[in-house]
Amino acid sequence: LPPQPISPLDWQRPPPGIAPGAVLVAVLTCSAPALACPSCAPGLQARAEVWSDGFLRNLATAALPFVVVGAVCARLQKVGRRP
Amino acid sequence: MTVAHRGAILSAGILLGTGLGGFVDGIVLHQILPGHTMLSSVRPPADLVAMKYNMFWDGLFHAFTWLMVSLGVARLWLAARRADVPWSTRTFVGSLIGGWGLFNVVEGIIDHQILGVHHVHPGEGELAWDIGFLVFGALQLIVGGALIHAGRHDTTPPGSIGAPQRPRAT
Repeated sequence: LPPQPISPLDWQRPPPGIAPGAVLVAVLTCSAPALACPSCAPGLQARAEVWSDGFLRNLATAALPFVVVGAVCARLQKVGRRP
Repeated sequence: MTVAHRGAILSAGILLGTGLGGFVDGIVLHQILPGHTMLSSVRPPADLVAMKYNMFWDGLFHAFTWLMVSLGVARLWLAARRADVPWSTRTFVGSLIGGWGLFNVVEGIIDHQILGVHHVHPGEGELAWDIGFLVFGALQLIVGGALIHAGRHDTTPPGSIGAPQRPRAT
């Protein structure tokens, strides 16, 4: 197909959804630091304690139930399977 | 055609049940209800730092549940491509419920009883809440097991549920 001429009006009219999306991004960008507090003192302290306060032990604790269920699934996977 | 490979759908259902049940635990008990957080018995969320500390570990818990759901979907997808997997609703729903119950029992024993990193409802009467949680998980295991058992002879292969039936030649 030959290339279609682009109307000058097409450049002036943004695709639908751009304006609400831009507003959403702007609102989230402005509000995220206040909501998530990524760099305030409590946030930094909590993040430091996550790493310094037995990170690997807590990680193993959080993962252990899922590892057990995964092992059960690995056993069940073989039910009825032909060799 | 021999339809025998139940393990594929069992493992998919249990992974999905574990993941979705973990989401119920995390969303309802950790976030909506004032119950517990992941390490609330180790580091009670009494101030903002401790709350954010627990929030991190709750997030990791949700990451693991998300991983379980993803693995379950992948297993289900692979199971659907095999002709020897019985596409049984009873087996699948039973493994979903059983997976949720298995997770509740395993998590209840490990996290609540052995390690004691959190309790269902910390404070007065926490043992009763923990036992109730285990009983609920055991009941789910029984119901799920019964459904799986009831569907043990189901032989519908994948792709045949809802398929248009050809009229029989007379």
